[in-house]
Amino acid sequence: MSETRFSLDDDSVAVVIGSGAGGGTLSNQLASQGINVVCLEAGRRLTPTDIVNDEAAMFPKITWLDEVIGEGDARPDFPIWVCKTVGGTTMHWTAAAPRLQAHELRARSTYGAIEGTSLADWPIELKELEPYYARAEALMGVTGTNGIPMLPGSNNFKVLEAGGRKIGYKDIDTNTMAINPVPRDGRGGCLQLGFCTSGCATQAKWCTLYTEIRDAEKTAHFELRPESMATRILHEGDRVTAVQYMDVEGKLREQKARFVCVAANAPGTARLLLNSKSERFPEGLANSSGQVGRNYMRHMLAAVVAIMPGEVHLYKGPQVAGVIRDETRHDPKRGFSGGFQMHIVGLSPGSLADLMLQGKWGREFTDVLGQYKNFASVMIMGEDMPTAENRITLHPERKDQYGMPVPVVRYVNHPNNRVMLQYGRDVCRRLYQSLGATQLFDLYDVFPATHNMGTARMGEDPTLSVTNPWGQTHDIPNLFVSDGSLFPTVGCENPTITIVSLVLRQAEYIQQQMQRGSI
Amino acid sequence: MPGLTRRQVLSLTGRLLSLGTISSVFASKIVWAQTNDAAIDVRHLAMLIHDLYPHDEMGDPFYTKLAQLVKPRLEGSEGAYAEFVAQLDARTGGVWQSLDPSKRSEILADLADQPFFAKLRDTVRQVVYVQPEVWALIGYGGNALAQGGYINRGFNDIDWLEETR
Repeated sequence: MSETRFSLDDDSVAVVIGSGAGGGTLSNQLASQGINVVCLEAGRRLTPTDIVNDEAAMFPKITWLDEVIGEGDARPDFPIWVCKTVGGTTMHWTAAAPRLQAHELRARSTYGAIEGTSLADWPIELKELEPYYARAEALMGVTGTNGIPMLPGSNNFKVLEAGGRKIGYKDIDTNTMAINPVPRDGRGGCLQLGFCTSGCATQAKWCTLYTEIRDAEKTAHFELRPESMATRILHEGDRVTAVQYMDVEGKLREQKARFVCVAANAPGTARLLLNSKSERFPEGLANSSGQVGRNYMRHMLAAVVAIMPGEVHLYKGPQVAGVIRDETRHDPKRGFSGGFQMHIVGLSPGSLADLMLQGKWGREFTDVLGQYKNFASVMIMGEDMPTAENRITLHPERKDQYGMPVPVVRYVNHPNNRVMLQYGRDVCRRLYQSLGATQLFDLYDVFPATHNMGTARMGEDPTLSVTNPWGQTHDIPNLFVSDGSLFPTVGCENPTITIVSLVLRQAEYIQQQMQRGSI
Repeated sequence: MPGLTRRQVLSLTGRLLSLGTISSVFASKIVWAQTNDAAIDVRHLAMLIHDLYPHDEMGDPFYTKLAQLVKPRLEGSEGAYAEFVAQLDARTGGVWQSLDPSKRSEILADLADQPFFAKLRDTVRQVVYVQPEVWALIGYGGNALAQGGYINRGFNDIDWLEETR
């Protein structure tokens, strides 16, 4: 922790809202260039000893449990699974760090018009992102890049690989993971614990708490304010001037700012912009396009659990370190647009008991769970389609403990998801059956969304997008969006490394703009 | 969960968070609208838990322990519990407890459509599969860090895949 403090009326500071993949990384990039940063984080700061191998103990420590309402196909009680802690959702993430593919950044051109969608091309091509992906991989310590070895394959991976090869897949490995196979960056090597989503006790997994935030605090230009919930961004004319937040004591404060970067996870970012409406921006700050909150995307997410003829112990090792990429291509012959990854997933008995046998009990239940050590499991994670009606709105009456309107997450599966789900489920079943699986279980429509994107999309046209290609809002030059809200489409890859790459690029742009005196 | 009203907690738990870790966290917060002074008999509850999740290797002391853990989570719904037990007895002439387990399960199955059955089934499940005794039985390692992780303890020791080639 650093001693650097900035005063509330210091209007030369950058205010970054959120300390996860976007906010934590951007803070460090700015601070290391000598730009003073105040980072507001709603959650509290954990110490290394707070992170233990106990799911039930970790869940309330790191999860965003303030009320969020789900509608449509979103789980009503718990539509999104994001974090409220320093480090944001990088505390919970599984550390899979694949790049988006070229065609996925040109989704509208590649897939054509698809009914019911608001498909768009990204305003940047893959080749413009590639140098930033390369920097992100070095920063995050991604396996298979920068001389970092791949992780060794776990039993669950070996089953996936053997079955995958049997049914003809070729592009299979332990995945590009932001997990140290050996110590690096002052952090430990992976001990194959299997508790990635509860926070990594060895710090082998990249998480901004002990990487970007740690490094930013070594500069004299960074102040982290945990337990500080941003409630409103204030503006004068077309410049933002300050951020209102509730501090750890429950007092409303106002931090003046030279510019503001919002990285509160897609639902949170949209909520904050919508809640910052004013006479000039009656539909929400920087929302002259009406796109803030819209085009909310997740990934098509399902899992298949197989009972194998021998022991697997799928809980041993990093939860998702193993992937088949053969189906990530776009191939309309399969009956759907976009592709999907097939990656292993390790789940505890407590989670599986609740997810895979809903409504069952008695022998029918225990005969299955009793074979847990023989379980193998794969997740299918596919491209989701943006639609204008999948969106984040503010509840008209309900307020949370900060006096903020409760966010409503409306999400309905596009028909493309259902066709993809069927196809993906069938190939996973064939994969495990090729190795003699005795029973198979499908898990779908049970997972809350951990990938949340698209609610402040970037683009060239200010009437169709919220920000320009650098995440600078069209309406307000000194207001930036710095998280997955920017994604015009989501591909079928885990979003974190793309968020990191986008903010590395944004940090350079911000410096140029400051040098030119534009912000 | 600061800021949540009791009604919200009720609605949250009523819809049942299905991830085990989530539900085990929330389960302790369950406050049911009904109240009744009738105490829940732990021995009887242990029998019900056994029939809901029968693991033959686990003995009575384990199911008694589970019943002690589940009982506080049923606080406030003692009335519904008593009513449910009364129905079991009504269908067996008051001797449900003395029937053999397979017969007991048949009777239970008759009541499986009732809302209280679902509550009981889900509340119990969230307790059973986070117990170290069950983990040991079904082959889950629990706290990996305390054991040095799996890096030297079999994360990649699978030996039967060759036979499938």
